[in-house]
Order: sequence, then C-alpha cells, then structure tokens
Amino acid sequence: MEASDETLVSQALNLGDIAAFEQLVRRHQPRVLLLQRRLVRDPAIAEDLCQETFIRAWNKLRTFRATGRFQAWLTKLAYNVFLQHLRHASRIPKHMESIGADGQLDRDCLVMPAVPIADELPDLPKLLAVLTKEEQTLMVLNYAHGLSNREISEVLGIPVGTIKSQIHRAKDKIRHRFRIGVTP
Amino acid sequence: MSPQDPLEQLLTGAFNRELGQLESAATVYRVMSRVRRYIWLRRFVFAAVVALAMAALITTFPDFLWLSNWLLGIEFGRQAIPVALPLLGLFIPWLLVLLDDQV
Repeated sequence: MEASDETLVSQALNLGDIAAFEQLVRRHQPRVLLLQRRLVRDPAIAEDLCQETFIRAWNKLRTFRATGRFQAWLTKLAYNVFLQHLRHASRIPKHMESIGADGQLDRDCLVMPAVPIADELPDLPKLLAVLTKEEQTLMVLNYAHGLSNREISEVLGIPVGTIKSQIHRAKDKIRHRFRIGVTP
Repeated sequence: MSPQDPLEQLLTGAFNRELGQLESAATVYRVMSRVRRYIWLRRFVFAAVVALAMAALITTFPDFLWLSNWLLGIEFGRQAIPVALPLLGLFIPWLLVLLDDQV
C-alpha cells in the first residue's frame, strides 16, 4: 500500500528522509506543472516555477499542518510562487484582476476563441481553450488537484460562491461549445 | 452532478490523460538535484560560519588554544591554529555529504 502524503511529509521532516520527499515530488509534479502551465503559458517558465514550488515546499515543510491536506497546502504554495513570479516580472496579472470582489469578469475575458468542433474526443487544451484564464485555473484546481470549492477559495482568496458560479459557468461553456449532452 | 454525466466523464478523462503526459522523470530529477544542492549549500554555509566563529574565538581569546589543541590532538603552533581550523571547517560539509548516505 502506498504511504499517504502526510506520512511521507512526516518521514521527510522527522527523519530527514529525502527519498520520502522525492516520492512526494514524483506524485505531485504533474499537477503542479499543469497548474503552472495554465497560469504562465510558457512551458519553460512553468517548469522553473514547478521546480521552485518544490524547493519552497522542502524549505517550508515544517509549516505544513497535518490537519489539512498536503495537496491543498502544496497548491497554495504553487500559486504563491506564481504570484511572486508575476511581481518579479513586474507584470500586471490581468486575468487575476478581471475577477472583481463581486466575481464579475471583464468583458474581454468573455470573448471566446473560435474552436473547431472535432468529431473525436477533444483533448484538454481544446476543452480549456474556450474558457477564460481564471476559469481554466479553477478547472485545473478542481479536476486535476481535486480541491474542494473551500480549498480553492483558500488558495486563490476568492469567495466560495464566486468559485461555484465560475466553475458552473465554465462547464456550461464547454457543454455548449462541444455540444455535450445538448440536443441540437 | 452525477459522475455518469458525459461532461464529467469527458473532463475527468481529459485531465487524467494530460496529467499522464506531464509525468516527467526528468522534472523530478531536476527538482531533486536542486533540493540536494540546496541541502549541500546550507550545510556548507553552516560549517563555514562555525569555522569562522571558532577562528574568531581563538584569535580573540588565545586561552581557547588548549581546547583546539586538544580537539585536534596535534600540537599546532599559536600562529597555525587560527588558519588551520577554518580550513578544517571548510572540509566539514564535504565530510557530511560523504557520510550522509541519504543525500
């Protein structure tokens, strides 16, 4: 049976077991990389940020409390690494600004790109292409990271209600764009 | 929403496929190399600080020479020890890395 994340954290922390930490990296690397790729778009930078996330995780392992899920803690760390990258790059996170306190989106973000509807099953980039950047982030956190709405709310600092409605809207967009379960 | 919902199935499948493609042994290797380098550097800095502190202590308070002599088990001259100890301290991280089979 595979050791739980929390057990591996405890081993890495108390015994200095770097192999336990390596197992955590192996387990969570695809999710962190997927999130960073959705956030920054540049695969090379995403890879760097993914590495940075795990370095920071190693340094801050003591701050992880076993009462929460390691996945949620790591995701928050990954998101903070991304925000720090933005600050360093002196870029304004336009897509983050587009989420207002009331969860209203900028009109620019609502313009959907034209995506050809393929006969075969669409892959993830095609599915996500019809969404705004923040909707993509929410979908990644929800489906790839398996975070609950409350956990996403803690990671992004957005109210739970906004997250619920945005995920619902994102699913509707995909459903209609790819005509899934929609009668013509 | 039911897990049998075609949209849920489509999304779950697409995300799982994408995650499978992103699994990269190379990334794990690079991450772990950086972590190991970081651990090594931290030990090196720690050992260097300890070595410098010892050197400062010995040069400021020569009475501590007996301790260093005793520690080393060699009768270094008064002039040699403040130089020799920091140099020895610089080798501590190498020794730590060699001795620690986990790193």
